[in-house]
Amino acid sequence: MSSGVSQFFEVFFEETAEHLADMERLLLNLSIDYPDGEELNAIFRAAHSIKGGAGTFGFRDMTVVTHVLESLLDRIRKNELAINREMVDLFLEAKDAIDMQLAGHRDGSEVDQGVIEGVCQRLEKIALASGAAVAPAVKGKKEEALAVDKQLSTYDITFAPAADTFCRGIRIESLFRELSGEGTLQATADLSAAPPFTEFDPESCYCRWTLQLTTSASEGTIRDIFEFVAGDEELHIRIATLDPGYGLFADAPGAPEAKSAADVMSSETLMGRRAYDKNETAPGAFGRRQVQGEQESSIRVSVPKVDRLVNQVGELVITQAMLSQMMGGFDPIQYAHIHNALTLLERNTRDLQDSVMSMRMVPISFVFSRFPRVVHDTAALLGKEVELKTYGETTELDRGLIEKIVDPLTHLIRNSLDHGIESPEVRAERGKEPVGTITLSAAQQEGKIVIEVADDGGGLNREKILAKAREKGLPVHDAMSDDEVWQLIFAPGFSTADVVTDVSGRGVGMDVVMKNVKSLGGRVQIRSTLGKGSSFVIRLPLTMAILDGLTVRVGSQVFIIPLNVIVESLQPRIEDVSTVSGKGQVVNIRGDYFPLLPLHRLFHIAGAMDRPEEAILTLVEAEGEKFVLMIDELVGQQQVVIKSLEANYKKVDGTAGGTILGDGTVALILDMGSLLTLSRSGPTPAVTSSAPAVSHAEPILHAFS
Amino acid sequence: MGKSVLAVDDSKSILQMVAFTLKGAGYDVGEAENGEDALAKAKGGSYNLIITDLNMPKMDGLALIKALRGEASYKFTPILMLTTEAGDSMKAKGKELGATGWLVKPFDPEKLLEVVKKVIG
Repeated sequence: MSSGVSQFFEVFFEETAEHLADMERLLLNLSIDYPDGEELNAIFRAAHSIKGGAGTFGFRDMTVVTHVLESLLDRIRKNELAINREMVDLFLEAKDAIDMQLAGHRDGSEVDQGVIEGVCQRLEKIALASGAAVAPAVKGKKEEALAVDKQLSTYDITFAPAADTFCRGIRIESLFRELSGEGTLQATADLSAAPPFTEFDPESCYCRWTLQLTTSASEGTIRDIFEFVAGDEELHIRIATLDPGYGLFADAPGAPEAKSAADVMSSETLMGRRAYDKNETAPGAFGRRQVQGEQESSIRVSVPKVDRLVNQVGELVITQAMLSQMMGGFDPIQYAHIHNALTLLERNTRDLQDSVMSMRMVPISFVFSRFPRVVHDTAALLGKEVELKTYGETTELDRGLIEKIVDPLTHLIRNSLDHGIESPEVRAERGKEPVGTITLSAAQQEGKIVIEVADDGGGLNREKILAKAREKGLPVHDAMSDDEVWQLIFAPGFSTADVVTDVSGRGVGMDVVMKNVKSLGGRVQIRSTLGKGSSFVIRLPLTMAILDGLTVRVGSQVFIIPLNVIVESLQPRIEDVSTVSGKGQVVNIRGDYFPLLPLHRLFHIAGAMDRPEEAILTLVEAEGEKFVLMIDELVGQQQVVIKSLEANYKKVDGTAGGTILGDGTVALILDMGSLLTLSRSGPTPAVTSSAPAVSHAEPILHAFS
Repeated sequence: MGKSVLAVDDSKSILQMVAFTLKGAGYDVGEAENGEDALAKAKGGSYNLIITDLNMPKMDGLALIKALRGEASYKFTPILMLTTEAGDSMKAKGKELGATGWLVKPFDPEKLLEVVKKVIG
């Protein structure tokens, strides 16, 4: 296989992935009892296309599997074979096998040959059982091996018997029969030498043939067949390639022979034959050929390119903010024209940023599309009947979020399948439809992405959860609101499952869901009614590149606190602050006590406020815990462009990136989870070395001096 | 004046490969992913050769061949079918509808060039 085709591999991989996804979707949707003809055709075509591409680009292993699958599908769509549930499941397995092969070629991941073999064998078993011979895959290894062993050659033979051949008692058919006996024969006849019908002599042979014989016989053997028939002038034999793999019908329109005859005559005299030429030579026809542009509604751009663009626009926004800030000091009336221009610049920059951010947006169907299969397989495993309904697949969200939301959603769905939806018997007892419903929906609401996983199952059991919480020693009391009780299930290791099933129930899922969602800057809300069902609502910010934050000052350092973790800010009274020996300070807010995190000590900032009653306290919530940050001053609230510290400098504990403010100051974005960890390990020398950037009184990461 | 070829196949990767191979040899290449688009393209342009896959959505290869032969400007234009090995019945049908010849899938780019050269030079 020529190496020149490798540049098309990427497109082939994407195409094949799409075909496989189509196949799965169609198979899942297929009605076993009344299969739709068009759907069967589409499934067949998907397999057929994969086979064609795999063969062309040399992925033999995929060709082999797809071949058997395709021939079965072909018979099914032609109504020669009836489809059943067992076959659908096997086809889905075959799809998985091909997926694995594809991943092997694309990413170099491991391919379990045992699985592939197993699938092939079972497919072949069905093919044989239903009475079809399993033809070897196109140019299978076996065939080529045979070719090499017996040295099959293809001969191009031109045979132009003399006009008196018939008179010599020679039967051309028996000749051809003999030749066919030696191998595979293809013959095309050429009657161009025949005179007009009125002058035809039935005893003369006007026919000529071009033959192709694929045989292991030698040239000598072939010549022997023609021994008494044709002399050297009448017979030409030469070895062609192993199998030309193409053929031309000698008397077909457009065939080269016909064309060469026409070439001899002038274009005016010969009508009909040269009709297509006429178009080309017509005045104005030269170069008139319009190769219509493909009506593409999208183009493919590499992801790194888009990310680079997003980054550059982010820089532009920062630069524009700096300019605006500088202009603040100039008299707005004297310099009105500059102010106006800057306002326009700001608007243009914001528009540009919106457009660029929208390029990162991807429809959530990318994530949703895998769930029908998950539900199908898991429900079957659990012996439950469940239907998945999806809404809002076209809702778009940031690329960065897409990959990270898959795991939490998968867990929530598995959870609904396992603990939510009851078995058909229990459902019947409760007067419900035997088939349970899980609803997966997405929408944009008030600048956030809202994703909901809801089920019409048994709902959360408040009493069970409270009991389990008490068991685990969590602080609970009967007067807790439902919302607070539901939040308990996010505690690590929490599970009220009576039996730990294969799917979930090990209690490792929900806390991870919460953690993942929080790390994306989002929140999870739960609603549930016992006996009726539950709903889990995830709210996410639209993008991960921009953050809504509260700008705060500690000493001479400026930090950004993400808005979504802030509960409230307050100025405490001296009596609300107390010290707990060995644990630091705590603050009493309306009866509840929260640990105080002294940022200036954690980051070694000199010159910051040391007494809580003089400072401002911001109550934040992270990973289920609430604590208080001590800051000097609230500066303002703004949207900031997040720049990675790790990529540009190194990982700094307690932070999740940084940003450049309008005046050029670098502000670090605080990460609550990591702050908690930092505070627990205490301000040890290790802390100092890991946060050198903020250990000086003068910030060293100042963009402008 | 360069010769132009219209390639028709519902597989984008194969289409790209064919276009690339033929363009590299100096042909102009038009692309279509199904019979319907191919017919529209052919009518809107002027191709010296059509190469078409047989199994496509929205008007398959055989229907395309039939439609092309019904067009005055394509009555004698060479049309090659891309067939799979087991496509003998397709070859016969294609021939009946007026196809000029066939090329077996999967094929080498070199083979493709050889055939195209043979047919339109």
